[in-house]
Amino acid sequence: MTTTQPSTADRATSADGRPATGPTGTGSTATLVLGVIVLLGGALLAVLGLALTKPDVQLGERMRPIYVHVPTVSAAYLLFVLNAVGSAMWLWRKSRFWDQLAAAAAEVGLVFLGLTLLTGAFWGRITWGVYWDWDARLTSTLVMFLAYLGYVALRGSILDPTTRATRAAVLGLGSALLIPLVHKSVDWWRSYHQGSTLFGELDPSMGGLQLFTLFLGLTVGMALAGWLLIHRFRVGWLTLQVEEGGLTEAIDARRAEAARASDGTSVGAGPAASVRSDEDPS
Amino acid sequence: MSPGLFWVTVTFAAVLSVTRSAALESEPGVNDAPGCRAWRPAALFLGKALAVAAQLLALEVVLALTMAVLYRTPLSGLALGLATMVTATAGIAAVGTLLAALASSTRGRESLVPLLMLPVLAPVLIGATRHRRGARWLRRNRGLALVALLGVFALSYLMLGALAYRPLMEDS
Repeated sequence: MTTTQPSTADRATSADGRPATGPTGTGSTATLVLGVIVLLGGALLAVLGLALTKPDVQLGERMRPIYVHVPTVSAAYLLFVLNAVGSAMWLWRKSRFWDQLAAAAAEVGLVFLGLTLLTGAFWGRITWGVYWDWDARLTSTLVMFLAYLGYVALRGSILDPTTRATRAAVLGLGSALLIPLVHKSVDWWRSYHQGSTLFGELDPSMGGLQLFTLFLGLTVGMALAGWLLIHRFRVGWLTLQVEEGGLTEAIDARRAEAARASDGTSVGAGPAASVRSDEDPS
Repeated sequence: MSPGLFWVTVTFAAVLSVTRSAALESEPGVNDAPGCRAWRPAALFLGKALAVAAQLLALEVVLALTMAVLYRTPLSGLALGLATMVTATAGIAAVGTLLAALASSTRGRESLVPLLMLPVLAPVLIGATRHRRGARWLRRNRGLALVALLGVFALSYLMLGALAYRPLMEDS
């Protein structure tokens, strides 16, 4: 009787068994270039945001955190939307690519949302006088942070890749329902927090070098998010290859052992025979 | 303070209820039992959510009467209060049933279920405790507006759970 032996080349297959190809390292020339662009853009943003732009007519120097705060929250929103897209695509196509993309987007989005809470706390201290208040926007943002922390915790607590991907996808779609709630919280409830910076009705509105710097911050923030996303995706993909490869190798070894046993050639070969020979005092 | 105490009690009861419910279901062969196989996964999810909601509503009735006596809470606005109770409970049951199913058979599920549930339920709890104050965007019928928001939330999670239960059962 012959059996089809899965080879280790079939690692990281889709859920229906189709082999998948993917990255073999954590970086590439393109990510290196992107990283350099992020560094240069960050340096330019620091010069513009801290030195060259004029202070705000109302907030004065205290408005400068906006060049970091708005980009981090925008990147977090975008990454969580990407997580929802990846989750829906996993449930539809059962492709490991979408699952890994959703996982990477959630983790990087969590980092950016954490930075948003941190920069927001410092900004709150210098404008409102407190680091934290149970304001609608602040509270809903914290709730979203905890929801995606739960997403990451759920992924970490399930060993089987397919079960993990399906359950995380459902949770990712459920958590995405919080995004509009957080975004509209300043309109629906009374809030200290200002309305939308870019597309809202701020008075006075931003313009000139201030607006350019804000858009530069958004561009740098998105590029940094993309750079981190690509690297996290690649690390996740390679980890999955090791996980599934390890399982495949274990199954290969077990099948080979069973084949040797059925052919009567197992005496003196393999771990099982070793145990038996150890037990035999002669 | 009493609405806060009320809903915190209900939430903790919900965590216990859905964790127990999911633990029973994760026993080997339960989903393959003839009684379960006859039902569609969406129906199973809705049935479980309904059972959890019924338990919670029973608890809420007892709790509301006890608090009315102990804390002398006025029972004015009974219709609005009942509507809030029903919609918020539907949301809690839907979220709890879905998230407990996600966390079933995982390492540390007793810690994971509240970690997953509490952030998602935070808008429901805030809405339910503040239904009399209302939201800014509909001043006239502010209580009803929050009940509507709770209803939309519950409906969203009931739909998500009904749609997601099949792939969850297949991949578990």
